Amino acid sequence: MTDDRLWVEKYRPKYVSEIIGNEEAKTTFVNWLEKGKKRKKKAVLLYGPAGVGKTALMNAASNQFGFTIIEMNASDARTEKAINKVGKPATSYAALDQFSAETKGNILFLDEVDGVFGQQDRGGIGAIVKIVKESLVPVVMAANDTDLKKLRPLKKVCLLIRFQPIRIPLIITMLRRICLKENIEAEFEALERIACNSQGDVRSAINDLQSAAAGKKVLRVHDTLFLKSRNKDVGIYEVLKGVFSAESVREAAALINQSRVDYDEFLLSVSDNLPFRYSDPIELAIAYDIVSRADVFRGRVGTENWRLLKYFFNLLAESVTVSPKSFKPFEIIFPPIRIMTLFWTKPKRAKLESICAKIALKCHISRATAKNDMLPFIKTIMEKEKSTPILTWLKLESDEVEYLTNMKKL
Amino acid sequence: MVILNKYCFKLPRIEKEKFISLLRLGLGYNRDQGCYFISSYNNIGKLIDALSSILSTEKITFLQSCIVCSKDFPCSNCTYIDLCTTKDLPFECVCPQCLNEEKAHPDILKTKGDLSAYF
Repeated sequence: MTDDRLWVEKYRPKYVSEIIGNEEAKTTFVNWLEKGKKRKKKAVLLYGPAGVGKTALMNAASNQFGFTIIEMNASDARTEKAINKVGKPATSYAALDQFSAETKGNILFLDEVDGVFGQQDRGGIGAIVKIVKESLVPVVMAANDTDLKKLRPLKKVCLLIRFQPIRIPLIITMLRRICLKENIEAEFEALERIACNSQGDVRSAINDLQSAAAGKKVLRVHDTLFLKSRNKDVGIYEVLKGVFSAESVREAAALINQSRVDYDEFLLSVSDNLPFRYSDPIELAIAYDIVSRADVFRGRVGTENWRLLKYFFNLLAESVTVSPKSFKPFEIIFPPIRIMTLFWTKPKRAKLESICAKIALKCHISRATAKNDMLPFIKTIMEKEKSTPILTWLKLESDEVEYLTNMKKL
Repeated sequence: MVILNKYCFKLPRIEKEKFISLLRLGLGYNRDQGCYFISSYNNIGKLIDALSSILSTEKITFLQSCIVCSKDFPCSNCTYIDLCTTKDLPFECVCPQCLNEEKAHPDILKTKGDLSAYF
């Protein structure tokens, strides 16, 4: 009987050692899994591009170490209610079969957690974080993109393990193995072409091999000519690294154009890193001038004039290539300083906002007026008389009074 | 170009803040041997940039380990260096010699190294 399964299923790794590439990630994951109750973090987040072995590692490890997987993936609705329905029973009680010699118990696997979004998955991430904190069993998650804001709470409670794209020689070796098993005589150049086209994605490489070689005894290069190169999304850090080392405007613009980075975040990052890129003040001034023009175009693009985006890209590309020959590697600053500052000062800003709200309520003015016109005077009064009755009248808490006292400037 | 061994390499004396930032990026320090090693590969790109700025060199290269013959080799010998997105990073790969041998004799995979487990 012929085996009609997809080759990605047929040759799915059964043991951790069968997964190619990412040796460091594999070792970290297996060490974490083997630690049992001594694990510092109850959950692990495997992240990296598609087709590099995140799900395969999870399946292979659970098979090898005898865990039973309870899985939720993108095809399931992952609202708070749905996650609690599956996740809570799975993680709140130890499975009975863990006392048998054959299995070590349950493991909760949430695939593609970066896809938990929108109205249909409302409250999903919050529910996952709660389950991780209360879980009695290991929780494993997989995601492609961890830069997303919504995943920040998850990243705090998880051990992060990054997966890199698989290198071309490794993919060629693996494709060669499959060809040997399928009794296909493959030209090296054909496998090389498939591996290069895959851009580090093993799954797509195997699918391409199957579509080109299935039913054949010999695979030649011309059989692979119809295969197109896979488009890969590049992270913002890689894009920044690429554009700052670009040798021409065209190269830098092409890089920005291909990526799907957040435009505003990218603009801020370019602006932060320019002083490290240019040591000559004149070049730096030129670059900042161009960035300011790019910012103007970003404003014009808004949310509808997307045809103007090419000017924004080109100006940013121009700003990083003012003098391509003067490039020296430097430590790229990311996330943007502005975003980090906002993040670090969030509690302080919240406190100031609450003080202004109290003043606004009592004085029948807006919060902005309270902040700009009233607060400086209250601070001056406080400096002269610490326990002024105004503070009692405004109903300020002791921590708010302390905040006002220590506040240097508004 | 500076070639580093991922299991143990030395750096010039650095200030405390720099040392802490390196450890946060995934570098480890072995007190007994007085050398650094890579403990986490999550921020390897940033780590390499930080190391190159400390060593004031344009390029830092880590040797690769071949999964077939277990030998160490640099990326500069590889044919696919221009296409590789992880070049010079301390990961495992297949060395050009093993790849060429495989090209000439595909059956070699059946008998060589850990790969025999697949057949």
